[in-house]
Amino acid sequence: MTVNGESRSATIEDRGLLVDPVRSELHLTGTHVGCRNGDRGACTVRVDGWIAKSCLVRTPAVDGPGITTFEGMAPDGRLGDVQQAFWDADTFQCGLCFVIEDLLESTPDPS
Amino acid sequence: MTRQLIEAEHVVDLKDLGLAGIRRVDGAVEIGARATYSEVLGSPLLREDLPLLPRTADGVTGGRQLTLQATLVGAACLGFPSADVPGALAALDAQVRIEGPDGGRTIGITDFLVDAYTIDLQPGEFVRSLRFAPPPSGGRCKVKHSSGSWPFATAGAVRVVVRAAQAVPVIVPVDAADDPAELTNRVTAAIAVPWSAVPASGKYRAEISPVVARRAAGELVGG
Repeated sequence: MTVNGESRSATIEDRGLLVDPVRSELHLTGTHVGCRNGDRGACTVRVDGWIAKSCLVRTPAVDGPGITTFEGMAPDGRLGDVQQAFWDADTFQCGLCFVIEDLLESTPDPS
Repeated sequence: MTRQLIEAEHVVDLKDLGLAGIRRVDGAVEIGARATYSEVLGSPLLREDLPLLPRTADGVTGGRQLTLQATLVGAACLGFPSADVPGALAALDAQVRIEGPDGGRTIGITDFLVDAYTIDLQPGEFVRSLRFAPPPSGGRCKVKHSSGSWPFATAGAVRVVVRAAQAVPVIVPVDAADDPAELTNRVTAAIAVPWSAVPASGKYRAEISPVVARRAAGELVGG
């Protein structure tokens, strides 16, 4: 699959959850395992263009353009604009930077 | 499956079966099994014909990641008494279209919801869509102590449907001329077996149900 713009290979379980190979096979550990229940958001990734909680996505169901993880939001090891804004404001609650980025794509001036 | 609560020999991805979309069919509104909460929220057809559904979807917790993936049909199939969706579907008299090895069948939502976490779906069957005849109007009231918690009792009206008070939605007919005491008696009588779960006892749910039912009915009459 294409991960953060690069073609990557991983061994997956046929009914496993996306969050597991992202961390254990691809070693993209910015994606965290929180509740495995969809309640949190620390496992958020962009799947085929949509933001999703990777603990609610079965890996074989990802057959589109690919996924973007937190690492993909931060090219060259730098924070993305939204991530930097979160850092500057001492915010927490992992996953919201994806949500804000998604909001700004559809609503550039939400206020 | 994730928590080993259910076992399945085969898991079939239904996403390419054409189950998406919200459309008008023969005067009714049909919502495909893969139509997400985000599609429900953004549907001009539902805002016009079935506004209770966007209102219900607007209260779903979990963020945009969840509303882009989760569906009305998924919530109906879970059969969780505290969830908003089963009650909203009961309020709107949804018809559940099911496909299976023996062909298709359609049943009413109140027959589909058998008990807490139990639905009328046989091995090999799946829900294709929900179908609705547009109702005239509706009100809604929900009691929930924080945005992240499950509601203890929620009511939607043309008739009042109280959910989270027993295992399946409680449906009570409402007339604009009803006085509050009459509606209270009717709701109390309709809750045969109050549903208890960790967040609230059945006794508490049963006691507040007439209150939320009156508020929902008041919104209906007032609106």
